[in-house]
Amino acid sequence: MNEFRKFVYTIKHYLDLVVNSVVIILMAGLIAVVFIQVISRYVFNSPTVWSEELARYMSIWVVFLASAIVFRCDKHLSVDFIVSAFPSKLKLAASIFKYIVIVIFFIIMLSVAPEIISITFRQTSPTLRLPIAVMYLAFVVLIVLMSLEIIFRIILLNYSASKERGDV
Amino acid sequence: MTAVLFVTFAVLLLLNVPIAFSLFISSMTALIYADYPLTVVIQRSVTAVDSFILLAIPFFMVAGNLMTDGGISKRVMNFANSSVGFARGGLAHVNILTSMLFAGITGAAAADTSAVGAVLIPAMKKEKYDSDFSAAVTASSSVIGVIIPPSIPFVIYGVIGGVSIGKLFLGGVIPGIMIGFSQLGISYFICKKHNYGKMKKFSVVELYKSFFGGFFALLMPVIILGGIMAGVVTPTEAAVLATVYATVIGFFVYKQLSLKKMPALLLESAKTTATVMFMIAGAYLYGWIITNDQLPQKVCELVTSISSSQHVVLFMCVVVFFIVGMFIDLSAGIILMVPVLFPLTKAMGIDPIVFGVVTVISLAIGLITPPVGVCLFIASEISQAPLLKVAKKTIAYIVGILIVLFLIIMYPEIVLFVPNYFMS
Repeated sequence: MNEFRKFVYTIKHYLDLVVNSVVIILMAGLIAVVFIQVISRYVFNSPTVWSEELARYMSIWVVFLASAIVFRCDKHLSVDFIVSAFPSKLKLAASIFKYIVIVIFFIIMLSVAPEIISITFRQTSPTLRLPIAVMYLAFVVLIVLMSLEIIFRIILLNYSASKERGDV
Repeated sequence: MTAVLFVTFAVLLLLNVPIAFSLFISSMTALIYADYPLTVVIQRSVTAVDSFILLAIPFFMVAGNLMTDGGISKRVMNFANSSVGFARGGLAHVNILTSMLFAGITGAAAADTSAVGAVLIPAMKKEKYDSDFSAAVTASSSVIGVIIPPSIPFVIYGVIGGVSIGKLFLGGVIPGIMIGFSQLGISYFICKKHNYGKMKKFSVVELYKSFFGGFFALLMPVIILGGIMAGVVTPTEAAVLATVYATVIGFFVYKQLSLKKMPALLLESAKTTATVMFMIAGAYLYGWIITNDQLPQKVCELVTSISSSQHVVLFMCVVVFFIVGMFIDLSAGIILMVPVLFPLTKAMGIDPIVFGVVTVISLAIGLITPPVGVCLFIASEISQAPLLKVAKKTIAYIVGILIVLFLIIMYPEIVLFVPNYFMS
């Protein structure tokens, strides 16, 4: 069992690293693309047509990938002052309830995802000729990453604690 | 449909499901209830995020982070110190003026509280200011950060309401400065009463020196606002110019940025952006459902049956925003309330710029009220003063903000003068 958890832990570690790096690169790229657009319009007087479209694609990916990171860090804003006044058993129940509704949401989203991807795959953007599905894919990847995070959490429950104790 | 939406939303929200997920899940439930295809969920949320205007949010985030990490906070503070530090309660004034100048550089409030508070709260305590007062000044003045442009809440409001963000930015200038001055006045009286702070001598040489020391930092608001005022750049473009400018200054002029710091800075900015944008994605769906169900029209009928006076309606909005702001984050408050109330105010002939400024200011009061005010929490943590004691000291400043709100509602020209002059 511990071998398996160690393996899962390693996978999670590298997956997190990859997602973080992609977000950082996209963010830097986004600044560069829009800066090029501004320069070409105002300095060289020849507006680039591809840049605004590319920026939109990139920003959608940044937002949805970074949302997965925020989910992983438990940093999505919530109203917690009511639950924090609950006794500990109710608190646990509320937390389980939270995960259950979120998982149901993920399952429903994943079940409709193939349909929307296949519809939008044939449509392409006006200048870059990229399939519109590339935008929609970002949302699907977000749901997949968040679902994986929940699976990892279940498998690795108490793992980092036991790791600190030296059990692993 | 709307009933299902609101009940599910309220239950999820109160049970600590993140706001964005509460929006998504309650909208999805309402769609299932009304038998709509669920592909709408994905379609609407992607459409929401697919906006060139919203790109201003990550860019202003990065620019603000670059400026705070790049050593400008110290220089802006030095300038503030040599210009108002001599007055009674000098450091309180320095605190407020720094926040006002910072407001022209960053678009958020919490960053201002931690940057200014970390330096000035210990300095104020050293000069025997009470720690709860020091924290209250820091928290209250950082509210100006979202009123003086650039301002991320204005970007969110502009996108949801379909209002020019450039005009909203300009509309925030005078109210932001008025709130700043109200706080300087309030602090003066409090400091006089408690005999806070030493009196220093005013020195022209020092002012001159600190101005040139902070010159490049102080130039940033001029670039952002100037570009928008002159109609040369859109807010998104101004934001990217600000980012590049901050990078150049941080690396080559102040030399406090290093390539090593960049990945973490970009990642942090992306995360804050995503927190806001993911909520916007969820809210787009929620807004679509309530509009489909004609809820804004119903609210409109209800409200106009009570009063048809623009002033009364705006005052009612302030009360609603004040209460909502106490419990929900500023950006979430805009995302939730504007789709419902915007059509109402529009139908009543209230200027969307004025309503935007009123919305952002009244919701922003929630940043310094318990139980969830972010700025209040940060300031009380830095000062080690108990939260409620700090909250008590912010009341005077909240009254100041409310007076400014009252003036704006009675005399909307305060807001409209600058945007009309430059952008009509």
